[in-house]
Amino acid sequence: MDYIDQLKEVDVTGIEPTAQVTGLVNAWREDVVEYCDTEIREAALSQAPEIEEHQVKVKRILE
Amino acid sequence: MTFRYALCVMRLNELTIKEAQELMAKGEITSVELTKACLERIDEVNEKLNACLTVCKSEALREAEMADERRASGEVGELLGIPYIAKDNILTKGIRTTAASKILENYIAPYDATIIVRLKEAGAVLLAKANLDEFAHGASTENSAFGVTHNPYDLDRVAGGSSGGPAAAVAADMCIFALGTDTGGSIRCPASFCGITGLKPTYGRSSRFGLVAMTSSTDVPGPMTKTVVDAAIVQKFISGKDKYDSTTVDEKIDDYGSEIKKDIKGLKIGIPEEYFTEGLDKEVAELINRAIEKLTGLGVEFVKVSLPHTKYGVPVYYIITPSEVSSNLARHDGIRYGYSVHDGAKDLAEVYLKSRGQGFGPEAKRRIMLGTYALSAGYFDAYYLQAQKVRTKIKEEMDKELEKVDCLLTPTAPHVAFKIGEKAADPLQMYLEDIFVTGASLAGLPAISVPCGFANGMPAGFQLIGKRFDEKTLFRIGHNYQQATEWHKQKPNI
Repeated sequence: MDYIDQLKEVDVTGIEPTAQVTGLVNAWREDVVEYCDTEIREAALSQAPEIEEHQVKVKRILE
Repeated sequence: MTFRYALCVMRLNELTIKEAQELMAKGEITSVELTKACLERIDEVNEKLNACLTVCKSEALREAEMADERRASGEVGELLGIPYIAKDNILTKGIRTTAASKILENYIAPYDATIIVRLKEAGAVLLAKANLDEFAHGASTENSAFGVTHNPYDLDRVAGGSSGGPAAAVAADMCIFALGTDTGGSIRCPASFCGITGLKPTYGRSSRFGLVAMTSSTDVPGPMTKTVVDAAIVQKFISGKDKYDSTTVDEKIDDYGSEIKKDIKGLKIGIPEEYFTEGLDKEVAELINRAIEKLTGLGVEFVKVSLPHTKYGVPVYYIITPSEVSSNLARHDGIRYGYSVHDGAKDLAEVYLKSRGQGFGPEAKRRIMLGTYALSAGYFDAYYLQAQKVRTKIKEEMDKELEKVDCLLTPTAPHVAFKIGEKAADPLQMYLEDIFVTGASLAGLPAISVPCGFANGMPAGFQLIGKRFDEKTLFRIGHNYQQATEWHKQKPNI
């Protein structure tokens, strides 16, 4: 943490933070459902440890 | 006849993209022959190097046959039939992608990364998936959950990281080229340590879709090759806007092939004095100076520039990176894919805790802890926000100096490859490995490492940092240098 603390010595008055460097602004698209074929869907689902009726099953959350 | 004789002496797997392509175009060799030569070489040396985690032999031979058929039907292309290796944090449909982590040990992606799709369309042949530091966290490949990659020039030394597997594979001629990823030096550091050429393109130049995300604001995939010409060929194919990655930029893709043929008389290169101070090995400094002399002889003018915020690059990087890492690794929860302690867990929280506790290695856990700490409510302003502001200063400073020159030249790494285990015990020592490479990453600038000689038998490279989207000037200077030198032609004795 001492090593990281050297950042505090830099004068950043009036400096904007950089979260990205491309200068691009939001890229929007229509919120539409895209078709995904069964093969890809099944391949994705097959990675889950427990599946029931084509859905990923999770443990209970509430008592 | 002399040509055939030359082929007998030179093994096919040792060819560059350009050489292999010329021979295939003439009908002298086929992609199947080339692919077999690479697969045999992998069989021969992978046990010693541990460069490849998964070898997809039958798929590769099938792709090679398809490439030969495409050529027979009249198709031409610079990557048609060329065998390559991809770093194992790049998703490949139907072929295991582990990110060198136990948590993804058996993960099979249902889709290809965009850059893999582009190479497939071009007819390139995927041979294997290569080793890396777990989730690309490191500078030595020692953080891989599947063992360290050894340097082909000295098996007791690291190959660098995090793209150590691809770098060792290219240096040892297990493939014709490789794809790596660079977040804070992960292509350039191993390229320097293994004596190959490695390009980190401008952020936004090549698509991140289908990479296992590490630091989304600096991650970028790029080529690792035997020559600068080859890097330019591969980069052309993986450049460009991708509708699945909204941070890719619709910027003109230069005709690198004709750009690199230009001479470099009258170009101006900046030498940032902050990169030539304490910590730089004397012999490496000497190699860099000789490269500067060589380039001066080719007509380049060198000027001194100053980047006083260079020393803050590593601390900024090690706030921003763990912060983004902690967020990006949250998806590995043992629910939808990856390692899961599901049976016997009494509730959801236990699935999370056990899956992540057993699945992640020590460095991933360290970064999750550092990142969540830096992002926590009480410390956000002091650490994360401060780091982002200093990042702005680093970026502005580099952009400003680059207005005065065509590019910057620095050492890629402060020294040659170190011994396995030498730095593994001290994370801060390992983080300082990144001292010369974090600047270009934080600023999103293109940077290439080009081999420039040997110190104690180990290779070293210089780094050229360019203006945003100006990969062409880096290729041009690097190619002119390689026309005048033989360092990139040296081979390890393995």
